[in-house]
Amino acid sequence: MALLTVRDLSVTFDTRDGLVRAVSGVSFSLDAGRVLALLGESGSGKSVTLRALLGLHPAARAHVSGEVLLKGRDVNRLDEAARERLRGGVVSMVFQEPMTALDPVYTIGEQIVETLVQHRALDRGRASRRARELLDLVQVPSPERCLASYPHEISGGMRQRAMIAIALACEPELLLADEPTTALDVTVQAQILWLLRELQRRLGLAVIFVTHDLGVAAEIADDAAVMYAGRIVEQAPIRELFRRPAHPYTEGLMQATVRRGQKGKALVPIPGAPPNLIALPPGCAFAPRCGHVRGECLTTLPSLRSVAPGHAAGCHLVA
Amino acid sequence: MSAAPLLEVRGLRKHFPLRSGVLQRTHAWVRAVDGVSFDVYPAETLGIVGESGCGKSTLARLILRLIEPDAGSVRFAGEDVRGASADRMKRLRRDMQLVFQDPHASLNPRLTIEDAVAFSLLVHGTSRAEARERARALLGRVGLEARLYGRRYPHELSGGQRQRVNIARALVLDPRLLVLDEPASALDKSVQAQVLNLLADLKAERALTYVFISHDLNVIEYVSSRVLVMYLGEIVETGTADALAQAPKHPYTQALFASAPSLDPDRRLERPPLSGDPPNPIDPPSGCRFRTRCAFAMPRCAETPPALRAVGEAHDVACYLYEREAIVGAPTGCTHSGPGGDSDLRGGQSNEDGTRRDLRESRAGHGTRAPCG
Repeated sequence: MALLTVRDLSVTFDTRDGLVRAVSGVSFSLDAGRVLALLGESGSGKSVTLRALLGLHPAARAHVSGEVLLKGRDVNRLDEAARERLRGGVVSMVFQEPMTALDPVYTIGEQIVETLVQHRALDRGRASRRARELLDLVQVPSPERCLASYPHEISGGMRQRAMIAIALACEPELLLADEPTTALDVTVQAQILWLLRELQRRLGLAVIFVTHDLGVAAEIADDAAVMYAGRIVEQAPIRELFRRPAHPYTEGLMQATVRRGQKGKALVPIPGAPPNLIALPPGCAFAPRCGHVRGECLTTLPSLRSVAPGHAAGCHLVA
Repeated sequence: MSAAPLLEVRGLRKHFPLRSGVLQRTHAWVRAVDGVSFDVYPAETLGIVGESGCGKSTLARLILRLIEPDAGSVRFAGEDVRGASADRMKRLRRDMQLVFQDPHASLNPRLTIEDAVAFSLLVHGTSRAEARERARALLGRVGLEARLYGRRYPHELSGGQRQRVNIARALVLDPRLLVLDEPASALDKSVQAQVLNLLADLKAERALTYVFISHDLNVIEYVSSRVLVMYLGEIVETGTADALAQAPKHPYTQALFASAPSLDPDRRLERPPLSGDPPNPIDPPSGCRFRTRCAFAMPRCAETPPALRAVGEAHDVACYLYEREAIVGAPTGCTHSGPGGDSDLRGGQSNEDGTRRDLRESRAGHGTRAPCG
């Protein structure tokens, strides 16, 4: 059985301007120990999807439908106490901006200890020792100093390591990472990506890694799901995605990304801009920007069709 | 590059005071830009690359005299920018324009984009009718047809469209030099390529000169003819974009190239080229500022900062490892034995957190990339 199965997940937000269809009919599954990259640009629905997996969207603002089965249990049907236990023990999350995710008035040590006392019911002495071990695990060079520091006293890279330590405190099986390296410098990003991969391998974690960066996905993922306008438009093992992108959007994204050694060759941008999620077109949401658009693309929504084993694309061109 | 430089920057320095307490006494200085010199030649694109806190954005503001330097000089087309009177400065600002990173924060939300573009023309004494006409023509050129977009407000546009407005606004006075501070970094990749192509076309059409600032090495390599690499307020290496891409010399430049994702799942980083974050520019390390993260640091690196020395044609590097080959025509191939050539460095060395690093293996990414799975 898959660790996580998502079926027909949709998330809408009721706003002053109208109903925002942030996520529409997203389905995927993830086995234990695998790394899935959710790839997409701003507004593609990747972060909203991730938050829905934890049941983090407040019912007053968002309407969530579909199933999120975590170890066979539907996250959206659990009461808050049961969800709380899942969040501690089975799944945890690393955010993009550790400065806003960490509490500024507590030291790193206090925050890790608090997590352990709350979720693991350790006494403070044992929790302190475990906090020290966790900082060793995420390779903080001087753990004692880091434990005694407030978030603003340590560097961005150290803060992100501390946040990963907190996320790993309860030994989760699934780690959700929302652009955890986007706010970091490139030399520090390389360190954090490498660390996450090492930890994932060593601890046998399943990871969902949300990113807008093809390069980051290539570094970390086993599989990728490309999102556009709230839907998954392509799913494939990561190598396959880079070698044979099947959806015109994925292909366009690859061509629009500046690579090394591209000097002197013109970039091929995707024309236009992503659609308004309040007024999505009836057919394929990418059709207005697509170079291969046909009549049916404007009227009928394409379903995900198989291109190769484990590789599917939501495009009418895929026969 | 026999022509006279369009922009000459010499010994530019800016330290920001950090104040605290009731009396707001200065207790430390942020050494944002510390003795930076370079030339920009007509029609070239000079790329400036570096990580957060390296001083690249402060440098942009110093060039345009949006902030006053503590020391050093900026000359534009032979004229001293720092000593210019208010009148001359207004004239100089027509010739030098800045495009900011954040397209959301840099437009007045109460002006239609047509008015935003026409605004500086009005300030410079153009009639209202003519200013409007020129603004509309320029909006059309950057891909925002004035008939459809001219009367819209910034919040009605996407990030990419707003950045086009910023570019039109910078160009409306027919400048000769455009300083672009991360002009495409806040945009999605698909839109980033549109803006980079537009900037390339405009440069050719209008014989513009660019100073292009970015943290993204791939973008810098793509757009630039020459590149400056900055670290903690100083230039550590400068050379043609090709020379830097093929044979980066400074251990920091090498690490920057090696850290950038390869976009190839079969060539993943096997280990990070550098450990630690960039140090705080408030209290930078003595001597060479990179030495605390450098695998090749020697005792003398802590004593005196190395000066920029020529290691090839128009290729300068500030690193003691190249002292012996600091002559024009020195070997620059990527297969060359690397920094210094001292074989006792080959094993790498331990740094403060105990991880062993060897840049020689990791440089240019060959040694440290591995297939996925």
